[in-house]
Amino acid sequence: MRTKKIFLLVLPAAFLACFTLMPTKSYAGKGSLMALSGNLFASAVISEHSYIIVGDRGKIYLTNDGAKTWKVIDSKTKNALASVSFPDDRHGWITGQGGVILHSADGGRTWEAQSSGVNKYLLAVDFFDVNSGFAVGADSTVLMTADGGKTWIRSPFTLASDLGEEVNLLAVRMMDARHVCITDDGGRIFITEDTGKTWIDARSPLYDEEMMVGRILYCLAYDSGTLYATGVDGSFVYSKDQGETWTEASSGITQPDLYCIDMVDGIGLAAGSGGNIIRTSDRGKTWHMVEVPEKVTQAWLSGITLKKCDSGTVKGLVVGQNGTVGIITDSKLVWQ
Amino acid sequence: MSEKKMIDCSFGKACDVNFILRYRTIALIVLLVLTGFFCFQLKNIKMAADPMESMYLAGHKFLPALHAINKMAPAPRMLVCILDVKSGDIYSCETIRKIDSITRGLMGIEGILPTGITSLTMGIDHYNNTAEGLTIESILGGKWPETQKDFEVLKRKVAVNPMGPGKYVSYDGTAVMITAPLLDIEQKAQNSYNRLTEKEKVGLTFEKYKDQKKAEFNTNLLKSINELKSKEDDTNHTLYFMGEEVITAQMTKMGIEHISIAAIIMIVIVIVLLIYYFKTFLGVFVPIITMILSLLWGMGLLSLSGIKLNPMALLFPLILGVLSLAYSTLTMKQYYLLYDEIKDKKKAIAAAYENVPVSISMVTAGLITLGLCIARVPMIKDLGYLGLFWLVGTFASVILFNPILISFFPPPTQTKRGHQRGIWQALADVLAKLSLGSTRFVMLIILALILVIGGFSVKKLEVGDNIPGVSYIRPNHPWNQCFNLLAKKFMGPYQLLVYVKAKNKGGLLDPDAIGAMGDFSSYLKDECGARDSIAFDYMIQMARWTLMDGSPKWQTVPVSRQKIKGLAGMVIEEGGVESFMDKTFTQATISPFFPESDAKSIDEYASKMQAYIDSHPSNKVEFSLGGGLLGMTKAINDGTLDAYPKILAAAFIGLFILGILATRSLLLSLIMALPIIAAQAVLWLMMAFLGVPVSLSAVPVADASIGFGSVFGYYLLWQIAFAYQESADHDTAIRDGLGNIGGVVIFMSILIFAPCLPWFFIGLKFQSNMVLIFGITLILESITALMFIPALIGWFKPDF
Repeated sequence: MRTKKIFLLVLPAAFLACFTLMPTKSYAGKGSLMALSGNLFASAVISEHSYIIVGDRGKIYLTNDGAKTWKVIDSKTKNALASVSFPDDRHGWITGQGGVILHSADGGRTWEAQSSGVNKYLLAVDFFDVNSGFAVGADSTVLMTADGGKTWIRSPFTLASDLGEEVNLLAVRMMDARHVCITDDGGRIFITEDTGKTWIDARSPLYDEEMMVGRILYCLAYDSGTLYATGVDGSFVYSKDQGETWTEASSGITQPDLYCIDMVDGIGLAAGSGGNIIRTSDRGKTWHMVEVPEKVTQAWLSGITLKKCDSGTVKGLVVGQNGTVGIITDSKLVWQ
Repeated sequence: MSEKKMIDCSFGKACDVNFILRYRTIALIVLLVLTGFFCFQLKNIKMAADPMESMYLAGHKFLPALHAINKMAPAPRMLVCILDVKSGDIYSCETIRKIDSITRGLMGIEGILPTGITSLTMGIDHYNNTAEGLTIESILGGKWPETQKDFEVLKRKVAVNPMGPGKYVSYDGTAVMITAPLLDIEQKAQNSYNRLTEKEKVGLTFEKYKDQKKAEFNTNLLKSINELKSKEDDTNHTLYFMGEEVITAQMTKMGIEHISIAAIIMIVIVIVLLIYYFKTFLGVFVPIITMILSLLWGMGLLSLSGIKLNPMALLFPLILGVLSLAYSTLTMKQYYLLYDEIKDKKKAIAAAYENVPVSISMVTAGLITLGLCIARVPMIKDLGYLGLFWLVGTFASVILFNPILISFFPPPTQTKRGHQRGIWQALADVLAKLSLGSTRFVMLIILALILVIGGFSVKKLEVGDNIPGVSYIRPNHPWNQCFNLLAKKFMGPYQLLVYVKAKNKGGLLDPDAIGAMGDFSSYLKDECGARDSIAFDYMIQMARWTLMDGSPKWQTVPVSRQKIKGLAGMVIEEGGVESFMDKTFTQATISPFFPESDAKSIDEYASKMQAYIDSHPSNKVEFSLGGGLLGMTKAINDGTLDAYPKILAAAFIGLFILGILATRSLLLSLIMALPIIAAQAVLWLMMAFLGVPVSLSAVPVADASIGFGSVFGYYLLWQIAFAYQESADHDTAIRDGLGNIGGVVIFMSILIFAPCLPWFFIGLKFQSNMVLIFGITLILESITALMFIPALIGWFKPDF
């Protein structure tokens, strides 16, 4: 009888104990793989397997294994980083909002701020070698350095202000240490042949002098002696004489804006709004649309970079809105 | 029989029925006067103005943010329409024309503000940087698309439009959303009330007038959109509607129609069952009048107490009323049986109402229901008090009013005393056989297995089905169909809002503050699994981009406070962003849209978000979680999780302790309580197996059913105890006891379950679930009582 009573006591107690252990607590989720996120504005191929991407909120992403994994690099700033240039595989420069200029001497692993002397948004930067570089941006800002950024001085760019306006300078490309080309948000192109001491209006074919309006050219590329530029409504122009004269050509598309372009050995890519990417393999004579996944069509693409590596392979990146990244190896484009 | 071990009927004896019968006229008058008084109080019953508020766990950490967000930006009154294409996508002339037709149709509906309607054919702009500068035009362009190429261009435009994928066009392109802002009916009511004459205002407070106008508005809106739907639905397109006003109107309509029909069917079922069982007028009249009286007293006391009734728990009083009906039926049955033996009406009445454990069970049920007061969810707590009021009402009607009423009627005749034996008793006899001999051990093993397996199955149970709106109506209701489409094909309705407060007034214009919001918003998308996240920084970015040359590098927040202020001012002036930023730039929200809404996912999202807040302190802003559909759901889920195990554990312990007080025996109390626990275990097993979540509606009914379930145990123990007095043998006592009362117990469970049946089919799912769980639990408790109590008695052989 005693055993029966114990049984009768133990059983409901055990039951109540099970019952009160009802799981409810929230559980900590698992960490996710490092994903590239936010708006990505520019990229560079440092070497065969080493790439860098910069973006909004001071983001710098670096890979040393051909984009298998990415590391977040501390930029020590929350300002948007708009442009990156690596003239060799060790030295690189990044520019961004608030006059930010960052320099790396170790292939992008660490970055130090350089003093630009301005607080303008520096939208583009280009270095010809480890010493000579130009940065351009809002309110007609043109900065130049001849000592690898130890000192930056303001180039006397007054062409726009001579017309009574300050313009935003959107793109810069150094053809060599003396010849530099820039574009503005009014659809004009300017060149210098004396390392920025003086500037000439290169008379963009897309600019109507009389109406004083032009189709904006957002970016520049330089390959084998030819300058290329793309912009609003699929505009495409090129110059074979270091920017002195320009010719308009067809990109094959008229609706989307093309925000970025790069060319290597006659093979080029241009990309822009709505995930549109076009490709050429004959130095821009003809262009073809590149198919992209559905998700990419919802993003703008603002940074294309192509580089012929020592092995002879052409490596590149396409970056854009909301962490959109595409890796280019020769003619293959793979989206991350 | 050992007096010590006899079931204590002192509760019944505390009220001397003979005394009541002696002064029955005065007693009747007093009871009727009190009943009239409580009836009068019914008109003062208050309904909870904000039913949602009383469903949250009191003191939940989300509530401060939820309230702050509601104060900052009351939810916009908006009608949401979704046009779904069955075959193909929206990029066809036919669908574009239909979208336009629906848009125009909405413009013609009274109460909709036509200029605020947004659809693919109205209100969505495409920004284009051209040589002439920025141009803004309708996303459809100058002319509507006609060719395949035109639709390709449109597709690309939609893809890059901030109002495109996931917002006004589904991710897969097979559905579109159209939104239509609604008139501020409160303001309109205020204006028209002010124009009423003094005579017209007599007896008509503004609150009543406003409620009338709101109800009218919602009803007319529902009618108009149903007409539009009939016109626009075709073989390839279906139009759905949702919005708070729509669901309110639909639930009100369902409430009136379905509740009326269900109530009528319920009364008919009760009458038919009582006629079948008693075959006398008294057998039908007394239980029904008892049910009504207990409801009147209970609700009258509720009104006097000032406690507000949540409309979501409207059927709970009805459930308690059905329990009163059952108690009355039991005692009526006992009266008939006793009269059969002793042939003295007065003595039979006294014996029926004094010597049965109905009063013990009533007190047990009442006190256990009162145990709901330990819940930290206000709605559940209030139902606990209702349980106490019900106990008073049921005591008055069953123990006091029933004997008085019966005494005025002639005693039952031999032929009309209803069923004593029959199908119910035959079933009881089968169960009696199972508890004798070696099959007894099988029953005990089954009991042990049920308790253990059922106990472990609790671990598989999940809290759920608490999403406001969705959980109130059936899954196949058109409102829910629209909701599900929104959740599946668009960004969805599952938001868990973050409340942002600047440490200084206007502090959200600080670049670091806006940046912190942006960083959190990005984290939500990248690490928390949000489909998208919208915060004011995004609007600043878009405004800046639009004003500049179109280069995407401008889609970033400026670093200067002055520039941010300029852009923010422009955005605020544009309007429609009140829920994201207030005009003083001190409060804001971040709105992530998540894909899932189950309890586990919500907990995970909240946990990650809180971890981010804790690891990213800012000297500019404070973040706190709350608000949004998921925020509200979590507050209800946590309330359910807090209440359910606590209340049930308290109910089991209370059952056991009250059982000891009633039987003065630990063993008898356990024998009474174990089958009730087993019934709950079976219910958990079923819920775990079927994947039915534990919702807030389950809490009060689970508790009430445990309390009432004791009647089966007490009755069986009582009958077997008395049978033991004669035979002094447990097996004989079991056979005789079940022979006397087994059929009654089975019929009682049918009497409670059957009237619940019509409620299973009403469109108000929340209420229907309450009744369903209650009915199933009662049936299980009657079965487990009959299966296991005799077996336990046969094995333990307690001293009676």
